[in-house]
Amino acid sequence: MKKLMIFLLLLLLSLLAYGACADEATGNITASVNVSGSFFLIVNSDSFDFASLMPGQTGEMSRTEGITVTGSSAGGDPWYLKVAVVSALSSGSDFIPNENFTWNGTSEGKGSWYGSVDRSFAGGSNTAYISSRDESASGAKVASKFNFRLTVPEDTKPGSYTTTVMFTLTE
Amino acid sequence: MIGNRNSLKIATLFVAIFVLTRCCIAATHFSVSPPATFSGTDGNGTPRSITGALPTDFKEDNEVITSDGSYSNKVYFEATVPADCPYTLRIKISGDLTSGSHTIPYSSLRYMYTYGRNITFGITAPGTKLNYAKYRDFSTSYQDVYISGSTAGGGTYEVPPISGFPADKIRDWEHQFKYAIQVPNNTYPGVYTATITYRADPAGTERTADISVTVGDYFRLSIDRGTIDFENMSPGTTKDNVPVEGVIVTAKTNTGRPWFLKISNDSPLSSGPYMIPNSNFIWYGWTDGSGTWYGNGTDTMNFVPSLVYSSSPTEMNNLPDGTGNHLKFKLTIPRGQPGGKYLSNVKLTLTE
Repeated sequence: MKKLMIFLLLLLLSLLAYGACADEATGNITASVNVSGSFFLIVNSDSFDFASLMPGQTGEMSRTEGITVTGSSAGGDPWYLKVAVVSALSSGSDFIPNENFTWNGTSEGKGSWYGSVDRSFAGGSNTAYISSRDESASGAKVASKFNFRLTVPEDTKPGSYTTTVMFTLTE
Repeated sequence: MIGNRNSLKIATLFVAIFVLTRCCIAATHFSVSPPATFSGTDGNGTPRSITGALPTDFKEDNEVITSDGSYSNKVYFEATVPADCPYTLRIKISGDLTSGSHTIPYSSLRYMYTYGRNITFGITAPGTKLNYAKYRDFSTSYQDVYISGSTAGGGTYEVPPISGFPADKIRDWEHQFKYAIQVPNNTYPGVYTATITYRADPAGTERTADISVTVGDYFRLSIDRGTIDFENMSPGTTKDNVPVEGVIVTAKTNTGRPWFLKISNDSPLSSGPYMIPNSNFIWYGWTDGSGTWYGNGTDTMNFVPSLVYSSSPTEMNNLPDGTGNHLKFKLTIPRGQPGGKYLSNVKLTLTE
């Protein structure tokens, strides 16, 4: 037993001695990656118009291919594409009510599209699209096409009426 | 005719006695002693040392600190000889420097004659300083270092007669040397020693001083870059072959012991609260060495160091080139990964 203890002690000392003389050297590298496109919205045009309309006339936007809005989010949660106008179409103090300004369109996405029929801006912000679960998880890009229609009231005064259409992507 | 022959014999005998007498005086009183503390005495020198040397280093010897300052090695002469008695100082080495079974060829050690003077009079040694102030290769045979003598005054002597001082008391010559080693590439750690012998002729007096060279452990890891950049990636995508030219990790050692290269990271690629799991971060590569490469091409990064490479017996002392290993990385960004700049510190460890 005593010999065994001595042997173990010597073994321990040997291991300690070996450990004490063993060398070690280290070097470091910084790994980096920019993960992009986690949340973005692209609109392919910054303007559109209805050309000239007469009071009482309904017209389509002159840009026949419509406005393409591409959204993507990789946050993992469902995302929403909304469309609204910041104010009614106006020319000086004259304006065209939002009830007369409508939108519709199609979406390439697999989520829920709410613009299959004409919807007016009368109610404020409209939800146009809600992503699918898969699109939310993968960060897939979803392109939606918007068309706009305007009915000019009979009593509308002549003028150049403008407004801003705002697209919003949110989770 | 007979008278003339006798006269010739007498004249020859007189010349022979004269020469022998002059040489005997020199041989009787001439001595050499290496260390500075031996001024005025005989004796062997204290060891000279070169410490902190590593393979591939060129390193000079440590200074000796004496009561009158710091000096390179000194050899003192107490030469009670006539002023015009010439002498030659020679030097040699015993052979290769040894440390156990390991050696450094003596040709790697060099010496330089740096200074000579007469301590008593403060006179710079006037003789011939061979290869003065230049490093010379050692030899196991004696090499001349200094040949005394001056032709001033029409004679040949170490110093001219000095007024008021006995001509036979020109003494205390000091000569200084320094040493340097060019440590060979594959030198193992250890304390290597050899013996230097100084000789004063024609007296033939020899004195020795050991020289030691302490070679330390050389165990280093070098990486040819500090970053690996996957640049821009989108969620759900994979980027491979980064960097294209690979990261070169070079291990150099002289310890004679097996070594291992390991890889780990302190944390996964992180950007604020978001992380890309290590399971998406893969390392792979290849080796220039003759040891064992442990990567299988699909190894994921881990907090616990993973074995990348283990040395072969021939790589346990692999200076000066070392052993190169090449690493590349592959990264997959999970679907739904939030955007941002993700960073991780990849650590490479060389261990025995």
